[in-house]
Amino acid sequence: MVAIVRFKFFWLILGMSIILTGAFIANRAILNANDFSLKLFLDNTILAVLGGYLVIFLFVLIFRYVGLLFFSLSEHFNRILTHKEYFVTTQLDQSTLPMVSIIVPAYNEGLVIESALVSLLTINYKNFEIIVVDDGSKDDTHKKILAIAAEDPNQRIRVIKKPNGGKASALNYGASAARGEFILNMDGDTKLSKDSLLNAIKHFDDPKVGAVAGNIKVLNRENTLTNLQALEYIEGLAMVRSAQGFMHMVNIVPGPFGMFRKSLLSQVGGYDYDTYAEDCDLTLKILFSGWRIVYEPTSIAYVESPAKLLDLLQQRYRWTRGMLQALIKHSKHLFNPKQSKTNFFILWYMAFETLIWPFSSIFGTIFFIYIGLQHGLVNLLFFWWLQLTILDVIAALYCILVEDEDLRLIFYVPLFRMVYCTVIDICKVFGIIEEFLGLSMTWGKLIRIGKM
Amino acid sequence: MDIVSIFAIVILLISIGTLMIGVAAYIAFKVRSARGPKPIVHGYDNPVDELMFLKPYVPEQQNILSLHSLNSSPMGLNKTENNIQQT
Repeated sequence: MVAIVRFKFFWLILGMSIILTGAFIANRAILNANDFSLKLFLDNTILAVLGGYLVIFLFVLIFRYVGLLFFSLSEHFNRILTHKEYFVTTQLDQSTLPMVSIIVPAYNEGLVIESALVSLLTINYKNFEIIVVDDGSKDDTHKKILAIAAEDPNQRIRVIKKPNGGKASALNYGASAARGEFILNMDGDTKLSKDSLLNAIKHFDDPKVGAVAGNIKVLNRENTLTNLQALEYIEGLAMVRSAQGFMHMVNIVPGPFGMFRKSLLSQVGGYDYDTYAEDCDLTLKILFSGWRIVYEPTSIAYVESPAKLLDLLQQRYRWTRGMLQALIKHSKHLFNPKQSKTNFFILWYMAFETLIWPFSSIFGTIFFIYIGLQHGLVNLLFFWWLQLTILDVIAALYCILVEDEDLRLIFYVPLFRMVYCTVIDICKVFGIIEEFLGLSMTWGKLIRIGKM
Repeated sequence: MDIVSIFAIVILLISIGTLMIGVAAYIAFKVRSARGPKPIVHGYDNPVDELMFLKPYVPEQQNILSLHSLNSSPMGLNKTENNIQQT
């Protein structure tokens, strides 16, 4: 409680300092002039304070990008230096490796489940089982799962059919039925790279590691929207997780590829039902239990991303509200740095990305449009956009080179910053407002196209 | 008019257009959600899994070392095996 009061006091002082500084700078000339007017004074003060806030936000963004690039690069060099050890690991006799249970929740995944299961059966790992949890599908998902299961000569696919209860419940069912010492949770629309399991399992040599987060990539790069998402996944997710991995601060084990110790899932009680971002919530529970989470960039999960704008907004709306729900659920750690500095930092970083960034970004755009139209300072909008785009270009170029991605993605950066991020941020802002207003929401199942 | 001013005006127009498109797209998404078929209520709203397992295990000593030593702790499978229809 004392910590909360202290933090509120800190923010109050910071806010007041910004307002007073802004008011002083903006009104130095007016205060000395004879034609002083209250309206002009307030107008100047408000603009100066808001502008000052945006400058601070800009510095935080630069700090964030530079920090992430530095730590991501450090992680990359670290991997190069330890490559020998990795090679030795992959040459191990596979019969000595522990059993892994791959859990695939499926709800109306008829269009993609076949290719997902076929790709799983060809991965480079011998000791595994696949548990497909049919979460009350109404299409031909169950029939297709059975057909693939029957074709597998090694009978590695087990099928569980249950009433519809949501993804979290499907994953919990699967975990309970799992025979493996380790559990890999994925989505029904996901394909894994061949060595994904082999590369992930080696991290569990460290007894402090409880979970491994995989690298998510967009599979269906068929139009501008999906290419923009491909860029977002490597710049906004892969680079961030790589940097977080170096600092032992991975804050989300993603739904399409999350590997866990089974004992850990039992310890934390599996997935909870009280948020729409069950993967984020579980990750936070794991972190607060004292376990370490690592990121493995070579454990790649290819997912089918939304190819239409409204489907994309539906997905991001759920992610935003889900992450906010998880953040609120664990908010007591936001004001308790003494318990764990790492977890404290992770939560504040999440708060920045989920709450502060979308609001500030939209606010910045509106502010500079107003300044341009009202005061004729249109160039400020250009420089605002330019600095954000430069940060994106540097980050995207680095990620494309490190991830060995398609270099053409770099040409999407201007569109990514100018249009894509703004549209997504608007959706996030509305989602945040609705969450705080307590408006009801549903999961919103994405319609599959079946391009896998 | 210099090049920066031309770019600035282009970006101004695109920004205004994008804001309008963003708001319109969000409204369209909400309208589509409201008109679409009502999904089965589950999970967050009304958990159906009363037979849930995976009860949180609370160790007696709340320290990391003791948590790590629990790797071999058995899962609570007995409650659910009978409820799972396996094929």
